[in-house]
Amino acid sequence: MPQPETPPEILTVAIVEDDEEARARLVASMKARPELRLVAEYPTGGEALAGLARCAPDVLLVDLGLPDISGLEIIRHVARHHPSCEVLVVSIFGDEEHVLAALEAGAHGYLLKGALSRDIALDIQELRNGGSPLSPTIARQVLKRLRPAAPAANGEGRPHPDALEEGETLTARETEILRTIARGFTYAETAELLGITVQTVHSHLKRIYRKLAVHSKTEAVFEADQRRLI
Amino acid sequence: MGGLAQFLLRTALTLAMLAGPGLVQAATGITTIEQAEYVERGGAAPPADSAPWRPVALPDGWQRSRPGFSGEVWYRMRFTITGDGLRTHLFYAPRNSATAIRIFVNGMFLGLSRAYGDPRLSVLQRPMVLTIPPVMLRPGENVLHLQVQGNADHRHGLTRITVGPGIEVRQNYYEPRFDRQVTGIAMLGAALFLSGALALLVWRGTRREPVLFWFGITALGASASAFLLLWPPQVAHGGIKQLLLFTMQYVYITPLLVLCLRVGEARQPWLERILWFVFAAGAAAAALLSFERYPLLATGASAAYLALAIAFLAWLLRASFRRRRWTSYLLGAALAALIAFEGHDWGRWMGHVDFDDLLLGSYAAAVLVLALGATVVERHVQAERALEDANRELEQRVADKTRMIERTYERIRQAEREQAVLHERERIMADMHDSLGASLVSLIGAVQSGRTDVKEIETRLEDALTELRAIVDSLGAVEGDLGVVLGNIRYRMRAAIEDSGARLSWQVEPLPTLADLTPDKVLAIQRIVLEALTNALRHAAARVVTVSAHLSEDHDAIAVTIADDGRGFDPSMTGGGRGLRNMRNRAASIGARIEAQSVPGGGTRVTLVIPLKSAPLHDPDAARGPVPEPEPSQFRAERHATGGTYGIAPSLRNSG
Repeated sequence: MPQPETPPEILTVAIVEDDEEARARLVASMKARPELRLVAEYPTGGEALAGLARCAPDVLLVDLGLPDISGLEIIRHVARHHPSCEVLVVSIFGDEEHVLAALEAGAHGYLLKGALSRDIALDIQELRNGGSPLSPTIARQVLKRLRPAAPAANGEGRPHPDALEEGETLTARETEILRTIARGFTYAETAELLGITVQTVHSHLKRIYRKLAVHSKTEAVFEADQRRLI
Repeated sequence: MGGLAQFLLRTALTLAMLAGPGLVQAATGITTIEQAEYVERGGAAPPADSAPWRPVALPDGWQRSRPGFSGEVWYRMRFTITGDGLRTHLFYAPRNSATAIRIFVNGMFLGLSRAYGDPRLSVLQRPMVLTIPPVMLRPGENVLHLQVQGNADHRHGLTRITVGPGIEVRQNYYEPRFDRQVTGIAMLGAALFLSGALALLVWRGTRREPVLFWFGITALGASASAFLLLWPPQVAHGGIKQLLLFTMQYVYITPLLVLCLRVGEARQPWLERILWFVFAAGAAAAALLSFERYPLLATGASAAYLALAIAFLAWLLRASFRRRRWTSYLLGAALAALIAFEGHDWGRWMGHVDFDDLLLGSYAAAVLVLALGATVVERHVQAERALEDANRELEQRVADKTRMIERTYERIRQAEREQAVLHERERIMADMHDSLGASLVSLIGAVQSGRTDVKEIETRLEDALTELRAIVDSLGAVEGDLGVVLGNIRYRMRAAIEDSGARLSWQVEPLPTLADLTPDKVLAIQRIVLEALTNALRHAAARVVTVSAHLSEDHDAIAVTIADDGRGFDPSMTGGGRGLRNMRNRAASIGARIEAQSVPGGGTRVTLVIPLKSAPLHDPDAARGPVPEPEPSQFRAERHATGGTYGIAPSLRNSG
């Protein structure tokens, strides 16, 4: 865990965005922040895939609607080949369908197009700190996809049959965190409510994201198995 | 099919055996006499050799050789005994054929047969046999004298005579003949009785197949008729037997014809009535007018019955062959046998067929009735099968219909869903037109008029975008979770909240699920909360803005409160009124209400009260966690001191 108290390190950022204006605005807002350094901007997915290995940014901003390939493919590529690079999806609406698909592909968070420039920097910082801004709707959907762990203490519960392995169910604490976020509480408030540090909240969220990606892969495997493809 | 072929073969063999003349077997010492001499005369002792004997061939049926003759005829015949030692011999004639036969061996009286036409005895259907003791015999040539007494009413005459050693004649001649003439008919009679009784029992049990009833009656009638033929010779009787004997022969014929009609599936009540009438008349005639007395009438009635039966059977056979079942062939064979056998009997009666032959009518009737029985059973089975098929088909059709109805319902549900989606879309379009459209149009106006305060335009564009996102959020699956709706508002307004400089106190408690939180309701709630929150942040100059949501004390509503400690306003002034009116209208449109309080300098407090229309579903997420939902006291809603109250008037609640 990086400590927030230390002087902010310089983050290298790359952008994949086909819309020129939007890209220009992102670039401008990058430049306004001293702790962020733009290292590359790509108008197409193909160029991004070709160029990412060279520039190896800390953070990659990806637009989902690219002209040549889907932004999800870039996310998967980065998740597999550049695990140290953290991916933020840029979306106009931040609607659950797209955001969840991106998270399942391995993205670490998303930010909204059109948000004020300060937000982008804030989001990137948050992302870097281990969590990423999670809207209540998304939190709720994550809760639905990753089922809460069976309560072992009260005896009435038994493991959910779908919960094939430990990694795919949420722990009690993770469930609590997601429920609180789903009611609109910020991470800081959540931490305060649960009597934990913000850093702990962030690290929980990071684990949740990982589970979500694993879950989606397991589901794909399960489905392939069902169809006797493997 | 193999079974059927075997059955037919056996039947054919049996028929051949029955129809053929008695075997002329030249076993050792057995003589079957076919040449004799006769003289027409009475007397107690055989006529002398000097009498005018004339040769005659046996059998000698008087119907042909001396029609209309009544009286006595003496026959003389010879047989030779070879070898040494005399054994007991047997005199055998295949049938009784005279009112009386007196037998003399070598001039000595052997015995007497009185049977034929004797009202006290009936050995009509029995072969005749007499034992000749050795003392009456002599080696070499022996002479038999037979006195035959008869009249014109009956078919009298003399059969072939067989003489030979007792055991051989008994085994080779008498017993086989007895089996065919008595035992076989008795067995068929028993079979008819059993099948008829069985059919009646089945019919009585189900009452569903009248054909079974008719078959039962017919079979029992045929059985009784067969047994009457075999009336034991030792049993003496009076007129009642005569009545029965002649009546029973007709008893089963009418039921048989009705059965034919029923089996052929022809219901002709008038025809059946005629048949019953003919039956009654025929039976009465047969009983009252002894057919020995009125041979022409009796034979005429028999012939008419036979013709009628054959016609019916032919008709039935035609109907039956249309269906092409195995019983059709059986019925055909039975009909052929009936015609052949009755024809044979008729021929014997008229003197055209060997005088010694068996009467075959009983066999024919039995075979026919049993064939009809097989047809009835087969039809019964077919009917059951057809019923099963019909049931299956009916079930199939019901299932098809059910599926069709389900599909129709599915289509209706689909249409309803589509209608609901359409309806929602229309509302959202109208909403976008009113809010987003209006904002953008006024923005364009502002830009065109040159009053371009960039900061303000940016703010208003952000508002428009927030508005648009609210619409997108409202379409997402919130599944009755009002907490998520409120959370999203906060999430969407993060920037504005931060810009305002006010501190936001967020006090949203775990809430019960709202069963009917449709997108348009979500949108209306978003609008109200957004408006109240925006007002508090932008215009109230508040230090703390509190948003709280909790279940009402009566547990019948959720109260969402947006309160600030800002400057407030005077509710009597119209300035702050329009926003409130909008909120109230929106609230009313979703069955909720607004309570607003404001005191100049004392802050503003707007509460949206959303009733839980249906019983609140227990939120499983809120209840199942291993740790109770944390509700520290500092997050509980605080009650503000209140000033003027703006509770909505009841009349307005449901308007809009």
